[in-house]
Amino acid sequence: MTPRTMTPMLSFLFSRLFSRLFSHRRPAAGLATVGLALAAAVPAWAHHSFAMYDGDKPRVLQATVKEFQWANPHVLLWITTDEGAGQKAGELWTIELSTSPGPLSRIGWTKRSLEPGDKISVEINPLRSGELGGQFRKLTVLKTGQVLTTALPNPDEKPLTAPAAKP
Amino acid sequence: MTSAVNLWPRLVARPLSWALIAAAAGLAAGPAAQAQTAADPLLNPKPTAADWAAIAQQPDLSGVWLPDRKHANYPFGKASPPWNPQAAAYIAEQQRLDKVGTPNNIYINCLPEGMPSFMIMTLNALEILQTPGRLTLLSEFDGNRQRRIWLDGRPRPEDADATFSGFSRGRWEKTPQGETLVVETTDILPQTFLPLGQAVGQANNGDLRIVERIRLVEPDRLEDALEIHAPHVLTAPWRITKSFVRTRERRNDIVEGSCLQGKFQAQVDKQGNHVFVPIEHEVGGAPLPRTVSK
Repeated sequence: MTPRTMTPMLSFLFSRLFSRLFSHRRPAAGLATVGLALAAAVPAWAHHSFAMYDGDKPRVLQATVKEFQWANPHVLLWITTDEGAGQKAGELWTIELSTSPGPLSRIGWTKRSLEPGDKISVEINPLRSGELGGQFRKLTVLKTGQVLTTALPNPDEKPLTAPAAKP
Repeated sequence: MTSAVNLWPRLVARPLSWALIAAAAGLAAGPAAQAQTAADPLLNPKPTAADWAAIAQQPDLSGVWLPDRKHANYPFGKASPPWNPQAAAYIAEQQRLDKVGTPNNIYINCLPEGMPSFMIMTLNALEILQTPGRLTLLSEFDGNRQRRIWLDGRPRPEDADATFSGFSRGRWEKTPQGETLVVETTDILPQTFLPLGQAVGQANNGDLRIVERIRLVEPDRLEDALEIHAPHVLTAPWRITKSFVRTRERRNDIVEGSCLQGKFQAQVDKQGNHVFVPIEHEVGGAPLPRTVSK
């Protein structure tokens, strides 16, 4: 967490928290309160904005799949970077897909789309904070050349249903 | 403040009076009476063959629906609610925060997204069940939440508990555009958002009332025209139409959509138990690799 990424809401919570801590008459109890409040103060996001990833600075990583987590609400991919131009080898990155197993399975993905050890080239929108995380854009499985994206097929090319009959 | 003592006469009197009405109605109506006319307002009547036959005569809304990607409002089009000045300023600030990469997410801690998000935010499949006396909407989005629209003529409850999805009742109306299910939803929590995105939304702040006109515009295309009355944040009703296409492909059947599973990593602990371990997240909700097992 960096001050730059701290939302006003959290700033407010933290300021409340610290004012409470320092005005508390019993330091031990105050600290315990803070511990609990800190744990509770950071909300868990279900569906969230992807604005903390920088869509203007996409980058490509050469990597090995460590784990592919097929779960709601956002599928996750953990990778370890390989040797490559403009990247450090051996870094663990978390790549978040902006969608879930339901929509992904409708465009051909399965929980077996990626296996640990697969060598991939993955394009991401990196986190603005510089942490080792990114939003998934697309990837190529090097062994097969298969390209995986989260883009839905063009509805003009592939109708979602049979053409509707006129009433 | 109403005292507990004062409530007693109401609590006792109401079931008794209902029972009397029900008994009178039961005497007046023969066994052939339509079950869904709800002779007893305290009971859901047993559906009859006539009730099921009546459903067969209604427009068939049942099945799995996907948001219509060709529709102008997919996902939002140029939706611009008539915000009052205070709400407009708040929304502008949320849009600015989202744009600079410090989004103020509106759906937190897996609380239900509620109405109107249930209808206007989803990009996932939606399933509709049409059974006597009610329409049930099952979502994949937002942790498989559900919504129920009462069609049995029941009145809006007095002093209802406010909920995320609110209390919805509907009736079929013949309109020049064809048969339309007109639904009114009230008793929605004041915290539910009028959303324009995952991090851009205004709390409705109370007295929210939503009127929906749901109809088949084609045999396999459903439109939901929403009219959102939020007097504390809007200067006029926000009108937005969402469109869904019916799909018969089994790969489109709705699947489990747990709300926060992805916030954990599946691991096996020292005892050999399969457990979910929290993943560390950045403010804003991005998962970080720091806590992931190496």
